[in-house]
Amino acid sequence: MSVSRRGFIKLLGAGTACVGLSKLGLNLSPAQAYAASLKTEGCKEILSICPFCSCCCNTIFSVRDGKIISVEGDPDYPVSEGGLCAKGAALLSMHVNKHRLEKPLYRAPGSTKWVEKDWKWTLERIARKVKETRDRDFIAKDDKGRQVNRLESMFQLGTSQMDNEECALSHQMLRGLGVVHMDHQARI
Amino acid sequence: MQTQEVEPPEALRSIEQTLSRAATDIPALAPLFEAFGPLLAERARLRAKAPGWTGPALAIDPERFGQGAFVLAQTQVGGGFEDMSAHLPEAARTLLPVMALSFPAIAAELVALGAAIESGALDPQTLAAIGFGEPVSTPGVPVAGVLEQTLNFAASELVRPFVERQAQDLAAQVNDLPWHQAHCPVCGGAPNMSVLRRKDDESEFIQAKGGRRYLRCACCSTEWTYKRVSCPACGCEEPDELVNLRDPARVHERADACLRCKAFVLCLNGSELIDMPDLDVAALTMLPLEVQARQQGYKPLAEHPWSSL
Repeated sequence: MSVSRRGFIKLLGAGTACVGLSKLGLNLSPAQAYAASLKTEGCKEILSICPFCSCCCNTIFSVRDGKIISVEGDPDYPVSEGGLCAKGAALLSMHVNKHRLEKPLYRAPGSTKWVEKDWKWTLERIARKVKETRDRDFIAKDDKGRQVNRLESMFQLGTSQMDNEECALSHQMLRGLGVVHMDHQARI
Repeated sequence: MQTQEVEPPEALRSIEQTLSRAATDIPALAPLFEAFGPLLAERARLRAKAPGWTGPALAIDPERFGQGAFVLAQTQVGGGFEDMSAHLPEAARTLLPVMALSFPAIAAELVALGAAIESGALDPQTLAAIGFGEPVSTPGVPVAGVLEQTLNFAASELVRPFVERQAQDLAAQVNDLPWHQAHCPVCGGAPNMSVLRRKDDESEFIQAKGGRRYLRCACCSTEWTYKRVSCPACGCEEPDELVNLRDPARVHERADACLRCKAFVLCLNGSELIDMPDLDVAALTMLPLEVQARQQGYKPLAEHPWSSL
């Protein structure tokens, strides 16, 4: 048999010579029992985007049984190469956190206690307060008589949990009310 | 063109430490660690002494390389590793006795094989060819008293340290070139292992928390980066089609499987580990996981020598 260097390339398809372990004289019973008893769980990795600022760093969410178990930066994302700032690194705790509010809490003026409220009550109260404020403070014309249709006593700070479409809708609503003071957490 | 060899004693120490830790963590696998551990250590010693790529630096066309033409596919002199057959008899004198001690059922065959190499009954070039998976030209087995499977196993283990050492030199030539393929950038082999490594970052503010995926060649042990949320077998990037199988008790070990093509590759998540284990020993430790993946209908991209539990 002659061996040419061309012949070596055939290695590439051959891969590793796998030998039957049972023919090597090894005691495989414990290993086989261990392998048979192993209970595996299936996890998924899902690419997402950090919502906290306009850098939009890619993230990898590890999910098991529909629940997030870890979040890390995506090392294949060329801008951050897997890096995350302190806020991004804490993304998991924003989703999985025993302190996270799951129902609206209301503290009446002068009160020191938070009271749990349902969404219907909460949304109706917000809507009423918005209307009261707008009816009271709406500025149709400035001191020079120019039409401005402005409401200066309300401010909205958008959350980084809002996506682009939600931000656009919110922006249109606020403009419709005449609100001029608005910002987004991602810009701060 | 040889690069500086930097492995032992670090590589040997890493093998010993990983074996020791693994034997404590998974006593059921102790017989496998005791058998393959000395083999892996001897391979590391041989790799340290191996000559590497002795020829001139290869002319790599970056454009072709970027399109997936691996290093050895671009050589003008035959397209393969350099012939290391002259070194195999000496390697056989140390490796075969170690294998004979580790694998008692084939010890007599390995002794016969060693004698055949010493006497010249089996010439080194034929041995090298067998190690590379070349079919034997004459029917039957070329060495009396040695089964073909044993011969293939021993020959591939003899050749491997030299291949790995040459690959180190060749990989150094293309370290700075982009490579997005699932096959090895040096020899074109398939991966049988992967590892997530976190980039060392001196930054005071931003830390790279995510571990980048490196695939590891089953033939020459070269590592290269590959997109993490994707299947190296079919390229699927759909998260719903990709699943990581793992033992809840050993969450840093997993089998990255693809529901679409039913392929899997073992993965060690080293991004949170203080000391990176030896990857061959780590793969051996993950043998039960490999068995489970196979039982669930998945197939590996490439095998390890011990994959037939």
